[in-house]
Amino acid sequence: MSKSAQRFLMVLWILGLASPFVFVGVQFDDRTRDLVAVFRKDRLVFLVRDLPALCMKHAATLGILVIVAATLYLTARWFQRSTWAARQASLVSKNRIIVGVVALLGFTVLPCFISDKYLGLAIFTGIYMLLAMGLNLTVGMTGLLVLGYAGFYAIGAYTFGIMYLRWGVPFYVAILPAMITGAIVGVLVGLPSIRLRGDYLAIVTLGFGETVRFLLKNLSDITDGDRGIVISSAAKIPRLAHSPLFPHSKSGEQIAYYLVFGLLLLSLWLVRNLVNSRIGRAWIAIREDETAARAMGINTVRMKVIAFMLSAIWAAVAGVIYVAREGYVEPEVFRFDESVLIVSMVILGGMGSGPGPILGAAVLYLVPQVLRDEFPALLDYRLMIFGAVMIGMMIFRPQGLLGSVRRKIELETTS
Amino acid sequence: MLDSDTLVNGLTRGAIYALIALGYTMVYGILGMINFAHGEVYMIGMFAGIITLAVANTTGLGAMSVPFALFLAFLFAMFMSSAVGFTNERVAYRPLRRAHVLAPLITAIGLSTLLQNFIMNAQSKDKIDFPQKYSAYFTDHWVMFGSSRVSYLQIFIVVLSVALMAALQYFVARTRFGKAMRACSQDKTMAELVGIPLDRVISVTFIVGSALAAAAGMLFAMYNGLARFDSGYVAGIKAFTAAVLGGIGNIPGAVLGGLIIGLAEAWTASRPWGSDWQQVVAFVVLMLVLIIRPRGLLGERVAEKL
Repeated sequence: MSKSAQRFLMVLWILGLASPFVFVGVQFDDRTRDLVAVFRKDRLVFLVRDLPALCMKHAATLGILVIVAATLYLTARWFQRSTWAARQASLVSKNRIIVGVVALLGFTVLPCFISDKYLGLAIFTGIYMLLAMGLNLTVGMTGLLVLGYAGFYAIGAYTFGIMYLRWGVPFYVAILPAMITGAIVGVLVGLPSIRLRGDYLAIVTLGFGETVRFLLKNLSDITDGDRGIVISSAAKIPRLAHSPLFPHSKSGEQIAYYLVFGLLLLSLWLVRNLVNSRIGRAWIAIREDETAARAMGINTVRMKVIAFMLSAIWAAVAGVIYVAREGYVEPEVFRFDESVLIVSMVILGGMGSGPGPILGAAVLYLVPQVLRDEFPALLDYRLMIFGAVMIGMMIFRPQGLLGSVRRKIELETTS
Repeated sequence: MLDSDTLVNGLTRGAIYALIALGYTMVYGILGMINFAHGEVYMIGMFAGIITLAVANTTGLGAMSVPFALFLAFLFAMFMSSAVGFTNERVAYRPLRRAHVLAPLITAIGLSTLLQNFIMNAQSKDKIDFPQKYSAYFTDHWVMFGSSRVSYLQIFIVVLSVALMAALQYFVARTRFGKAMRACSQDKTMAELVGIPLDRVISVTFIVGSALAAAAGMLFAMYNGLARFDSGYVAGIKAFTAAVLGGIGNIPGAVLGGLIIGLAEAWTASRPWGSDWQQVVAFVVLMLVLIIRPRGLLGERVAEKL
């Protein structure tokens, strides 16, 4: 590698880091017919003079934030190493019944203390947690990257929507047919995908997700196309009358909250039992080494199809709950972004661990929402910050926030 | 079945998809990762090019010489995209090279969100029109091909794409550096052991792929007459599909996949029922092909490494 090539790379490195300034400093003025560039000195000045000045002014606040972040990070690092922490952790896991009961009670009485806005946030976080848990079965446990999970989610939502449209079926009746449809579609997608490995599978599921969305858009005789389906309030999740038990809430969505909460508990229990069952152990074996798993006599085809099927059922249930709570559904809800978001929740939370995806779902759903609600000044920048948070978290903890122990060992021993 | 209009349209689109797909396939060949931010690099190329033209407009350079301004725009777009692609790799992928394969996927998704929203905030929430002054020469002249008009722009797109692909093929197959790249895609550890600077090979892969994407972005902006901050999203998915269709990691495969998807889309668009289904046809073709050939059209049937 010659000196000049090295210099070229250096230039690119600098230019790459400076490229934001180009896009900040020059903007189009599209009002005239001919495109004209405007030099945005004001923005550059803001970036290099006013922003640092602003930071200096709030140096104390920023300093505290940095110190808090650093402390958190260092504590986490120390926690991983220290024996004291390990003892505490084992204490927690020994007393996990107590911890579990406390958490259970906490979340049970939570609606008594929060207002409608936070109740709504909690319900939605719960729906995403369900989705992340379902996807964890394929992505986390079995190691099959699914990039079209929103397709299964849509199947559940629209099964209910169409059944309502045709026969006026309420959601608690529709949940079973939605699960069955989800399972069938899961098997139908899973079966042909079995011969594919890794990224080929990922792209086929991506194609599946997009195809479902376009089917919903274009088959407007059945699905009402782009207009979407509106559910009357009678078929939605019933609301409580204003009660003294929940003084901060007017909308009365407590039933939806408890429904989602109950479903989450049920799924936690189911997933735990699944993972420790024959099927779950087979999944993990497939994830670690498919050829070896087959050599050990595991019917890999059947196990993968089961993973797809169960995963799809979870999504279908979440879809029904979504429609029953929102009262409205349209194809655009199930864009590719949605699938990507759910995959990110699983990976960022920690693949293959039980609670990991739940935490991932909470972080990735709440970060943009809180940024939107609490920092209205940052409204336009919230997705930028979200992207940066994703990158930063992954660089600091490549195994996910709660990477499972098995994953961690594997990560540290392979190359 | 394929009339000449469809053929011309399909080839034009296919050439653009192929150029983007090359970036996906090259990165995959060496790192084994899906570079989800590649669509955004393509979009940044579009914007960098149009910015150059806008500056040329304001400084009067555009009035002096249109071809020179256009040349500068292509050059700057490619340079800018290369810089961004290179920086992406340095910042978001290199620290994770030893982590689990799905970890860089997440940073790539993060990068893609970040870059898209950055351009949205810094430039425009709406579409930007490609200045017609610069594409007028190409769109106003045409030749007859069979019964259909082929604009100079379509010829230009196909010729430039083929030239770039030929250059890439020469680079990978004939030069010393290309040999190093092929070695790295076969076995990274062994390549390092025989003294190939792996980091630099990876950097160059990103630079070359991004430059190709930027060229595709400029061509597409000229062809469609507009650019948007989310243009990279659809084009990225389609191009990735093309790369997988041809057999990911395989350079001729990416070109073949791009052409097939371009033709399939053009054919669907020409049907009376086509406009609704145009966006899905790429995936349908992909699924059908992968059921028959699980490793893509030109992917080799390699035995699983143990």
